Amino acid sequence: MKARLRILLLMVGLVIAFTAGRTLGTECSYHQTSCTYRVGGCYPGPGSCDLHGGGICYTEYGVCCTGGGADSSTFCAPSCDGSGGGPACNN
Amino acid sequence: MTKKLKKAGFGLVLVAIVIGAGYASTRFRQTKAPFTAHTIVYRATHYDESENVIETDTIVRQVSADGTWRHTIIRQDGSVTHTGGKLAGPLTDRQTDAASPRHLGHAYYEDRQKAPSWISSELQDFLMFTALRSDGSKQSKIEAIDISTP
Repeated sequence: MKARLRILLLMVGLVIAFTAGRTLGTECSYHQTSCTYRVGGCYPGPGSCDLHGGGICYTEYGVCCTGGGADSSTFCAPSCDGSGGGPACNN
Repeated sequence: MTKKLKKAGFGLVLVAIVIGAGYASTRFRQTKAPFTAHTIVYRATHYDESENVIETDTIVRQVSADGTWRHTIIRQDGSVTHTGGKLAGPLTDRQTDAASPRHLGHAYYEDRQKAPSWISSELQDFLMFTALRSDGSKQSKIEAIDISTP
């Protein structure tokens, strides 16, 4: 009886560990932009936001204000209105 | 007395003409729209850390002449989400020319300084953008598969 209980507990533990691993594995891959950019748009990705307070994993992209190039940032948020990119981008 | 009335009448007519001219110049002034209204359909591909494809979505991006943009995202599982906003100003001041490469009939310049991208000066929009992770691996890519202008 004890042996069965041990096996059962082990199985439950394994299932929990597997679920936790899956959650971590598909977690939103945060990315900080390397420049202040003019936002072009944003779109959701497949990453989970369970460990980041919920919401949707968004990628916001745009053209860097100075120095050329384009960059993006990825974050968890309830919605994305393109208001990111930083305040220093004067048009 | 008649002279005074004539003067007053002339003054009134003059004021009316000036007011009318001012109104007309405001009402019928042709202002150039800052953006070219267009719709781009993107294929969005998402990659895992090993750059294997994990999801492919469709994004319909509608941009109005005033810079308002709206995305309708059809996820691989069939769910639909929306994002939207307004462009604060032109995305780029770089110009394309006759020698520039074209994608779906639109000239673009390629930028690889940070995230690889194709940008159309005419549309002030991305024809392709690749989002990279902090370690430089590919995270997602949007590529225009259809472009239409009204």
